[in-house]
Amino acid sequence: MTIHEKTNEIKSQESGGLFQNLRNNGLSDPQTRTKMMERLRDNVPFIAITLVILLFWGISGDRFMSLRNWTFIAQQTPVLLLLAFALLLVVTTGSIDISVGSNLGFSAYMAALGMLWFGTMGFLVGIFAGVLIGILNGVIFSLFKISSFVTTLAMLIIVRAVLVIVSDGRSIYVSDQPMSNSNITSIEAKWLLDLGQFPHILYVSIAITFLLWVVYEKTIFGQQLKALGGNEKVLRLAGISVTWFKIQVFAAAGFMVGLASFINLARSGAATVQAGQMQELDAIAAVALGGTVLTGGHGSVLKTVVGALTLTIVANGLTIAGVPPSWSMIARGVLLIIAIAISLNRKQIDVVK
Amino acid sequence: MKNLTKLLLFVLILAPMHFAEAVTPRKDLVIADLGQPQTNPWVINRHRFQECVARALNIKQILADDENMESKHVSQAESLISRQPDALVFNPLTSPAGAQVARLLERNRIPGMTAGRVVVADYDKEYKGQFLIGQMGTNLEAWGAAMAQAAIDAGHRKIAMIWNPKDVITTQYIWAGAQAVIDKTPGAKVIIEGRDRLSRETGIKYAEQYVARFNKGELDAIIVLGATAGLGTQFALEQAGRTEVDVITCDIDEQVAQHIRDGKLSFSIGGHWMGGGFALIHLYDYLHGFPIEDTQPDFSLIPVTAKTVDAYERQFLDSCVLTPNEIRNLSRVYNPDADLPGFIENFAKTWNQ
Amino acid sequence: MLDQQPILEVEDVSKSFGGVQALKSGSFKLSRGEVIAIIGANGAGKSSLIKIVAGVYKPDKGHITIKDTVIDPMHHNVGYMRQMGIEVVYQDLAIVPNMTAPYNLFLGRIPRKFGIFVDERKMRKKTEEVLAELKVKTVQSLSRPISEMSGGQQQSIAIGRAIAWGKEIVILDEPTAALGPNETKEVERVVHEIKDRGTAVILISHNLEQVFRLADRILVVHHGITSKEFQKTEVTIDELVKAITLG
Repeated sequence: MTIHEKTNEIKSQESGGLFQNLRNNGLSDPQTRTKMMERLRDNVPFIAITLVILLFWGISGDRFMSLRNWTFIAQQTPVLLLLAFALLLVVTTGSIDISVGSNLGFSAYMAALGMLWFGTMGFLVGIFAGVLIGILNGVIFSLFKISSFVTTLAMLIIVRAVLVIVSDGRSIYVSDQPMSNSNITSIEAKWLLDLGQFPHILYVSIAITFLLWVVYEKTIFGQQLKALGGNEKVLRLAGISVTWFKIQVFAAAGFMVGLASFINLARSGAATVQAGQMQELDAIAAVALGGTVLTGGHGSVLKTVVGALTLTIVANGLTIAGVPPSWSMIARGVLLIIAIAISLNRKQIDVVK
Repeated sequence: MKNLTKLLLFVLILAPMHFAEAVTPRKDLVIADLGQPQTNPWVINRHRFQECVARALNIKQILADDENMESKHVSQAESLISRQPDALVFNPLTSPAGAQVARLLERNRIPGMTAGRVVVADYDKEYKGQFLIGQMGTNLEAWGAAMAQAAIDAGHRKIAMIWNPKDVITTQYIWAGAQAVIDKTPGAKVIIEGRDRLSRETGIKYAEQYVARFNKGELDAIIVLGATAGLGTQFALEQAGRTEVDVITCDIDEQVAQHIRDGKLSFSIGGHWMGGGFALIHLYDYLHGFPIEDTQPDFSLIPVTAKTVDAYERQFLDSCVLTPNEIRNLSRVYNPDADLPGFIENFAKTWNQ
Repeated sequence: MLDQQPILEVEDVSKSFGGVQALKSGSFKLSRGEVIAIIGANGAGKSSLIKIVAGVYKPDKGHITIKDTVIDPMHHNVGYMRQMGIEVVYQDLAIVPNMTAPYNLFLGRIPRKFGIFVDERKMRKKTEEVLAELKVKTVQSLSRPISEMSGGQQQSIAIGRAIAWGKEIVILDEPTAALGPNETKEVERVVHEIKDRGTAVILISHNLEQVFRLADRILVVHHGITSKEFQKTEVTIDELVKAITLG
C-alpha cells in the first residue's frame, strides 16, 4: 500500500506547489530582493575593497593614497597572491592545503641553493621543489585517502623541519655585488633583486594572474577542478580518474607555491628558515575574502586577486593609521567574518562543519 | 686502570699547585639540553658554544627542541628525563613551561639549570626546590636598554619598533628596558609599534608601512628585535631609498657583522647565547660536588658597532670563543680558583675594552 | 516497431555479499525501443540486479549477453559495460550541480581544442541539438550552473547524455523520485522520446502509475528472484501490488 501513499503524497505536494507559485506571482518583491541580494553577494569582494580604500584614504589622506604607498602595496601583495592562487586551485576542488607556508620557505631555500650550485637557471630547483611537495601532498591525500587537512598539516610540520635540517638555520642572501665576506652564503643576482621590486614584480604577477585565469576558466583542467568540487561521486561514476586528477591539482598548487617562493626570494633578498611561517592563514583568508567557498565547486581568479589585495591594504592601512597591533589583528578578523557572512548564500547551506 | 694513570698524571702535574682540591674529572657525564628550534642565529650560536664547552669537558649532550610550543616544551623535557641524563640545561619557552620543567627536575631528582630565560624572577627569594640549581639568565632589561641607548646616543628621537607580540613574555622584558631609556630621554618618543611573528618578511613589511606613513625627518630609527627581521627592515629601507632611517637590532651573524662594517647597520648586540655553555660548566662543577656560588648570574650582552665588529667576528663567529683550556679554567674541577660568576659578569665589560 | 532480437539478455545471475544472498536468480530480456520496468519491495534484489547489469557488481554465476556478445566475467566492470552501450542515470548522482548543462552532457568526454582547452562552442552546439531532439525547452542560459534549471530539465540532460553518445541501453534508477509533478511529466516525455529513437530502457520506479505510463513490460523481483513478468496491457495495479508483496 505504500506505493499508493507515495502517489498521494506527490499529489498533495502538487497542490501545495501550485499555491506557492500563485503567491510568488502575486508578490514580485521578494524575488527582486533575492536577485539584488545575489548581485550584492557576487560583488562583495569589489565592494569591500572599495570601502576599505575609501576608509583609509579618509583616515590617513595622502600618506595612504600616495604613489609611494601603492608601490609598497604592489610589492607586498604578489607573494600572498600566488599563495592564494595555490589555495584557490585546491579549495575549488573542496580540499585544503595548509602546507603552503612551509612549502614557500622550503622552495625559496631550494631556489637559492640551486642558484648557488648551478647559477642563474638554478632557481628552477626551487620551482621543482614546490611541485615535488605538491605531488607528495597529492599522493598521500589521494592514494592513501587521508583527508587533505591532515595530510597538509603533517607536511606543514615535516617540510619546515626539513628546511631547518637542510639550511642548518643559516640564511642565503641575494646580493647585487660580490660579497667580500666569505662566511656569508650569498648569491650574486642583481636581476633577481630587480625582479622583486616595483614595477617588475607587478608585471610578473599580472602575467601569472593572466595565465592562471586562462587555466582556471578555459582549460579542461580548470573545468575539472570545479566539477570535482561539485560532486566527486558523479565524476567517478562517469569514469573520470579522480585519484590521478587530485594529484595533478596538488602538483599545480605546488607549482604556484614554487613561483610564490621565487618571488619571495626576489622580494626579501634572502632565503631564511622562517620564511612563509603562518602565511597559509593569510592565503586562506585571501581566498575566502575573494568569495570562494571553502567547500569547493566555485571560485574566481579575479576575486582572489581582490581578496589578496584587500588583505594587504587593510594591514597596510591600519599600520599607517596608527592602529595598535592587537587592534589591527581584531579588525582583520572581523573584516573576514563580515565579508564572508555577506557573500554566503545561507539558503543553499544546510550543514556547516 | 686508565683513569688511575690519568689521575696519577694529574696529581703529578697539577697537584703541586692545588693539592687539596684535586678532583677527578668525570668523563661519563650525559647532559640533556632542551631549547628552541634552530630557526634563528642565536639558537644556533648557543648550540655551537655549548658544544665547545661539552667537548672541552668531555660531556655527552642529548639535544631536543620544543618547536616553540609550551606543551611540547614540557613533553620534550619528560622524554629527556626518561633517558636519565645526569643533568638538564633548558631555555624555558615561557615561565609557566619552565616551572613545569623545574617540577619535573625535583620529582626525578635530576639537577638542572636554565640558560637564557628564567623560571622565577629571583631565584634565591622565590625558588624553594633544590634540583633547579640556578638560572643562567640574560639581563633582559639591560639588553633592551642598550639597544635604546644606542639609538639615543646616535641622536635619534623619533623611534619606531618592530617586536614580538606581547604574549612572548621575555621580549616584553627586553622592551621594558628599552622603553625606560626612551621615557627618561627628553624629546624621545616611540612613534609607532609593530608587533608580529618576526621574520625577514615581516621586517620588510613593517618597514615599508612605516616609510609610507612617515616622511623624511619624521622617523629617525627603527629598533628591531632580532637580526633576521632587522636585516629585512634594513633591506626594505635601502630599497625604498630611506637609508637616513637607522636600524638598531640584536643578534649578530656574519651578515649583520658585514652590514655593521659597511655602515648599513649602526648597532647590534649579542653574545647572550653564551649562557648555555656557562650553564653547562655550572652543572659540571655541581655534579663534581662543588656548591653553586651564584645561583643567578646575569650575562650582559656585548654591544657591537663598526669599531668593534671585526674583533667580535673574529672571536665570536664560527669559532669556539674560548679555547678548551680557557673553558676548563672556568671549572673548579680543573681550577680551584675559577671564578665563573665573575667571568660572566665582567665578560662584556672586559671585551668592550 | 519492436525489434524481436533482444539487445540485452540476463540469464540466471546471482550475487551474495558475505553470507547474505542479495540476488538468487535474475533473468530477463530486453529489445530495442522497449521499456522494461523492474519493481519490487525494498531489499528484494532490484538494486543488485541493476548494478550487475551496470557493471558495478560481478555476478557470482549466470551470464549477460549484449548484442550477441556474452560478457566475459573478466571484463565485467563499469567501464566495459559503458563501452558495450549501457548508460546509467542515478537518481541523485546524475549531474554535477555547479557545472553547466553542456558540461553535464559531455561529462567525461569534454571536447578539446589544442589539447588542453575546452571547446565550448562545440559543446554548446551539441547541447542545443540534444535539447531540441528531446524537445526540452530551457529558459536559462547554457552558461549558468545546471542547478539553476528545474529538476526535470536536469534529469532530462542526464538522460540526454545517454543518447547523445549513442547508448543503446539506458538504466533509469528512480528518475523522478525527487521531482514535482510537472517535472516528472517532462522527464517521462523524454523517456518516450528516447524509446521512440530505439533506445532500450530499464526503469526502476516505486511509482506504479509511472510504471504503467512508461513501461511495455513489468518485471517483479521478490526475495531475490525475478518471479513474475507481465505485459503492461495484461495486468492491473492490484495484481502488481500482490506480486510485489507475495511473489
